[in-house]
Amino acid sequence: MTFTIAVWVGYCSFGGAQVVGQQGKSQAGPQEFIDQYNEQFEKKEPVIGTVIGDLEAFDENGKKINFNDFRGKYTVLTFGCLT
Amino acid sequence: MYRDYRDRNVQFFYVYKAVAHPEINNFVAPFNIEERLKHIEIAKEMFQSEMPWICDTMENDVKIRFGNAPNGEFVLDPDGKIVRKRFWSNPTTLRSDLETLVGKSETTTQVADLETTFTPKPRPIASGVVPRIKLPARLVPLALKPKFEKDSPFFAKLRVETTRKEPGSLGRKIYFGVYLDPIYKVHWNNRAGKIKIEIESDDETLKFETVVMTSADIKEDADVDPRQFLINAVVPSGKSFRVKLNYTVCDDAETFCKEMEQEYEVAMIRDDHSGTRPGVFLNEMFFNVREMDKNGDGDLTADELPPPAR
Repeated sequence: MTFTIAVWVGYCSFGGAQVVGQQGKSQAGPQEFIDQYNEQFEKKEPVIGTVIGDLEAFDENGKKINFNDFRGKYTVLTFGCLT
Repeated sequence: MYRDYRDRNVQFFYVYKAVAHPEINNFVAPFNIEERLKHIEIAKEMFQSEMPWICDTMENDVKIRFGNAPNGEFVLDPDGKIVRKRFWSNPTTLRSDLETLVGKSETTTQVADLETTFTPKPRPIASGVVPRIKLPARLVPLALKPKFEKDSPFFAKLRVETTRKEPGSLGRKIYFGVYLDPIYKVHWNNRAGKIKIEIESDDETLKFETVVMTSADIKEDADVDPRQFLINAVVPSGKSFRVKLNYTVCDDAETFCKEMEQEYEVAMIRDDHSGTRPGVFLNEMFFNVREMDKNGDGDLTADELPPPAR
């Protein structure tokens, strides 16, 4: 059996796994699969229009923050990690 | 884009969340917020970014709240409302979003304008010297509860995974992986003793092929490779058992060597936030692709593909 692995990375990567070797930076996979995933992702909670409201986390120094503190400006959030 | 829009009423954050794929570059899941903050320190150095970071809670509140996407990107308006979201961040689309929401920027910073010249420092300790064991496909990570003690960092971290139960029986395989955490810059002292795992349980219905596992002899005095063990077991879902882990590490700066004994409670419950090791998600991908080949002829035709991929 032979399969075109690269074609399937975007779809079959279970749970939205990153390609091996990524180190937390965004890398677009095969664009058509990303677009399909985005379509499905947009329907999942939290949907566009949801107000995030009260949500606590930490800043990079370990100080507690709240997402309510971000109001007043547009906020861009990009998720990732070292692996 | 951060540079182009930070003075235009737009704030940017990287959100550091649970590791998606432990083992890549030897990084493993942090056990506490201090360790997760240490990951951010390392990420800042690697990416040489100017953008501020948000560190998710150890309960993964931010990751869960925003839908669990590994590289998700969101834009909130000044009232905190989500106005854009995508599964995978996309700089081109984000710039287009910001032009629509805020207006065109006066500058357009390119990647080449960023000074990203990070060169990782090689560690002078042997790695790749301990053969990896062949693991079954479709291992599922289990929920662990480390027993924290004062002044006892988890230099090495246990990861436990299990296969699904074999049909018609209660048997399964359980994987124990012991990984040095690179944030501590320590290595195994192979002359001081072996890495040992002991399983303890008061529940006589739990059966393990062995309750004591020790690492094999290694020629090198020191190394940083994981130690892996795979055993047969009969442990129903929902049950738990204890694990004691003994090991000796020395720091790379050669200022200390420590004998460690640390305990964990392992629950036979899937941990949805501890990520998947690269060997697991690639195997899963192969399984998924193979299962799509309904007639088993080795080719995937359009009608065998799932709708999004046709």
